[in-house]
Amino acid sequence: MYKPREGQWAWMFHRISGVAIFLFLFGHILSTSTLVWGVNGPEWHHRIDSIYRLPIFSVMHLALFAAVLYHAVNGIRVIIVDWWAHSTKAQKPLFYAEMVLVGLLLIFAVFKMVIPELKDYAEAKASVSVPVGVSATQEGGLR
Amino acid sequence: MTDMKSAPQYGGRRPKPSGDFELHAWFFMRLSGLLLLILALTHWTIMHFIHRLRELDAAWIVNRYQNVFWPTFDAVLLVFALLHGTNGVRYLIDDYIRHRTWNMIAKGVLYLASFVFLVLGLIVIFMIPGVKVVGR
Repeated sequence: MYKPREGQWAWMFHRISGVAIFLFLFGHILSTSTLVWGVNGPEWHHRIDSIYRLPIFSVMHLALFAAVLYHAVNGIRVIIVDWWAHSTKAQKPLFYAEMVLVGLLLIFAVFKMVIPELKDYAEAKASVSVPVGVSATQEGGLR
Repeated sequence: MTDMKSAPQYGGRRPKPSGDFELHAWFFMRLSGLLLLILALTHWTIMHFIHRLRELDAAWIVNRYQNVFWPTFDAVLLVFALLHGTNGVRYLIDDYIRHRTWNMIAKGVLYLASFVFLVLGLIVIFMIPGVKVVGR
């Protein structure tokens, strides 16, 4: 049976990540649009924001970042291969170098984005049970 | 990649070649890709690395948009992301939907959706500076 090699995986991931980002973009436009839904717009926006702060969305943020990074770095590789014929001899190392670069940036994102977001969520959740008031929402916590 | 191949053949008549369109589309994907790499990653770095999700409430966004640079930045990002994405999905439709009628229907839906979200996105971007955030 035909066994796909690096180049074909790269091509397949590029398509999958591209479609994922495109679908996300539609959702992103729609949820941001709540801001301009009349006088209650900011209120709607706040509600959606609290959903985006759930831990599951911190994981989704990382997945989205992975898709964007992969698509960006692989796109650069495609451009290199398009314009520099000699690079076709280095397809395999290029693909693995790309994966390592994406992996390193994802580890950075875990520490710089995912963990702080999870901490913020835990803090906001803890502060909700403390005396009712605006303070929790001012910090951008849950309602 | 698949981008450079000629238009796929459907049952019956071969679609009329549209001049240099495919070459321009190919070139556009490279250029807009490079631009988006800079714009999208800048957007991400500001929103998720420099700032944190908990800061990004309505007041923060409206305040940020008071400087005309940011609505402009986001509008350019929006337009290029949608065009790049739409053309990318067009390649997929040509690759996977070979039936001529369904191919046209799929592209029609794609172009309509992209247009609607382009207009919606631009309306949102240019309305945000005027949003009144009361209370909080």
